[in-house]
Amino acid sequence: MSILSRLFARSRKARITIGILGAPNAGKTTLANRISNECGNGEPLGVVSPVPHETRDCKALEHCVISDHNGSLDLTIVDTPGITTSIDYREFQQHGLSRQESIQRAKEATRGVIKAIQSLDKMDAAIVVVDAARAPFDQINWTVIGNLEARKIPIIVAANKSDLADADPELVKETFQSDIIPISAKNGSGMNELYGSILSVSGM
Amino acid sequence: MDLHINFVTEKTTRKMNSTQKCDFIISRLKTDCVLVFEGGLNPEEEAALIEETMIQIDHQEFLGYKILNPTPLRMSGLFSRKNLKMTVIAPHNYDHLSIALV
Repeated sequence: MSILSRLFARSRKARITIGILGAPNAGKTTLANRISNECGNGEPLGVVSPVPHETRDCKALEHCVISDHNGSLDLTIVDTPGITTSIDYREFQQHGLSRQESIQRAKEATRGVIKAIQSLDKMDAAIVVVDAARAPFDQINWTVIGNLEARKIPIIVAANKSDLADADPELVKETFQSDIIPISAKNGSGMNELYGSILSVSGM
Repeated sequence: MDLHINFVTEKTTRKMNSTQKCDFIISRLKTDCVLVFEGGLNPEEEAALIEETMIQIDHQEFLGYKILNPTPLRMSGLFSRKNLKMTVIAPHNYDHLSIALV
């Protein structure tokens, strides 16, 4: 490789699409919003809510840039709806929604889950967000990880909500038998390690 | 409430494709059956089942399911040992899935 091409390669921005996946209310949108705030244009990707299935469509944010001494990475972040095996509209009623609103939300949520599953084929890498404070961990995480592995998509397991007293990132590590990054998307702890891991899985 | 458990052998599912497996599972979930699959489901089949379930949820009777892949059991026979993998699938309203496996 010539000196010129080596210099060009070093300064070149790599581009990848990275999906944020996981169970409902694991903190995916909070994480997407933080990445947008720290590396993108600062615009939130979605609304964060204690009501499950607030995110019911895939939302992408292009040109989030993270870098280290090897160069920069131009990320397209895709925030996905929470993946689940059941949706009961009565759960939304417990959060104060009317029956009609709840059924409408449930219908949109079922479509959102399908979109999240179908988005797996469009990703170069994925962050699987696990709520580290909610053991036993949702079975859906194994389904998501298994499908990503089958597609040979690099995975980062983020043990979110590590700031909470009940959080047990070590249990996440033990359960999924994987390297994990303890983070708090809410207060920002662990984000530098997460960015380092994204650069690492992208081959930089 | 009566509890119906179907044990589904690998022999039964071996000739089914993913769509047939999904139809088989969902039709039985709709009759409030708990299914125990010998050999388990692979992740792609689980994803296909989620997609089909989301299509069939009617927001009245059928609201989805719960799934558990317990740690494989180590089975010892006279001449062989093998790990028995299982997948347990129960209707959404069945709240005692983990207890049933103890």
